[in-house]
Amino acid sequence: MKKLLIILITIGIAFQINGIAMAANNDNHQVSIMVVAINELAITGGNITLTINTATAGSGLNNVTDNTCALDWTTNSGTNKKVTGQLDTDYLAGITLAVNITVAGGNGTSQGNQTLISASAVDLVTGMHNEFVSGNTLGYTASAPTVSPVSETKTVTYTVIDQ
Amino acid sequence: MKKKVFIISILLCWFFIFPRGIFVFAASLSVTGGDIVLTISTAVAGGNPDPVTSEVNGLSYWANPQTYKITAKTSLVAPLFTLRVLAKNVQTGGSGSGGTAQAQITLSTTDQDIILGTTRGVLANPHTCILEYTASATAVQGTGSDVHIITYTIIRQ
Repeated sequence: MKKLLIILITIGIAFQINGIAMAANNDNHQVSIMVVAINELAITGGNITLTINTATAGSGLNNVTDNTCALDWTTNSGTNKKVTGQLDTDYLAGITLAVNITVAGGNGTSQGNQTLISASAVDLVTGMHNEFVSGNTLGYTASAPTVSPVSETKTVTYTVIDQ
Repeated sequence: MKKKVFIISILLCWFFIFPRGIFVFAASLSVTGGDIVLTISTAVAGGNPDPVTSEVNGLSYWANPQTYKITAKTSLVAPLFTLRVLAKNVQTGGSGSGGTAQAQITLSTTDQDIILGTTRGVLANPHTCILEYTASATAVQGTGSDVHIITYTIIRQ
């Protein structure tokens, strides 16, 4: 009798423990985060017109400047990036457009006033990495000291690339 | 003989009354939606990379009969990036309450509450919720990957 009782209790406990084990009180899954290379650049301020219409008597036409546009950029790269600038086509002989980017923060260094050409991209800011900066002023200077009246529209393309 | 029949009867009654065990505090939880990958690949120039969210996962759970809560934690001790989770759209199953979703948490290796006050529910018609994950990174943090194993636990509150 006692033996039977022990057997039944043992079976009972086994079933009860099994019952508990079947009710899993936790679960898990894998969540991966991948951050890939991001390099973004945008111009603010839109299109501009620089009009050369003054001169100093006895000298050529006066240069014209414009500081209304800016560049914003983001790079999460750990290695240095640079911003370059390039014209789609060159201006008529005697007309030049130069730009000087004033860096508003981050790690980049301005390369100063650079004349834009179509043949190749010129370095304007170097040493950018792991940063996001907005409001980097584009300081344009147009000059045409001895050119007859003319109107020319060009497109300037800025690019953030590996240094 | 009478004694034997009596004992067997008692045991049978016991199993009918407490089919889930002597310890009537029982709860169950499962994650739905499988493993996921959150890829951060965009930014607005002049700002940090854009966060990425996912709502493809959820929880299915029941608790009986006491009040339970659900906690979440990650296995990753030193993540490169930030991973947050929010329980949303809590739906009560057949009975009781699916509980109250808590504010979004940043996952760490310590259990944190995401749902409080859940009661009852049954296996056939469990409570459910959506898990909203948000991954974020800064430009300074650079590129790379984190692999988290997120564990959800339902325990007595």
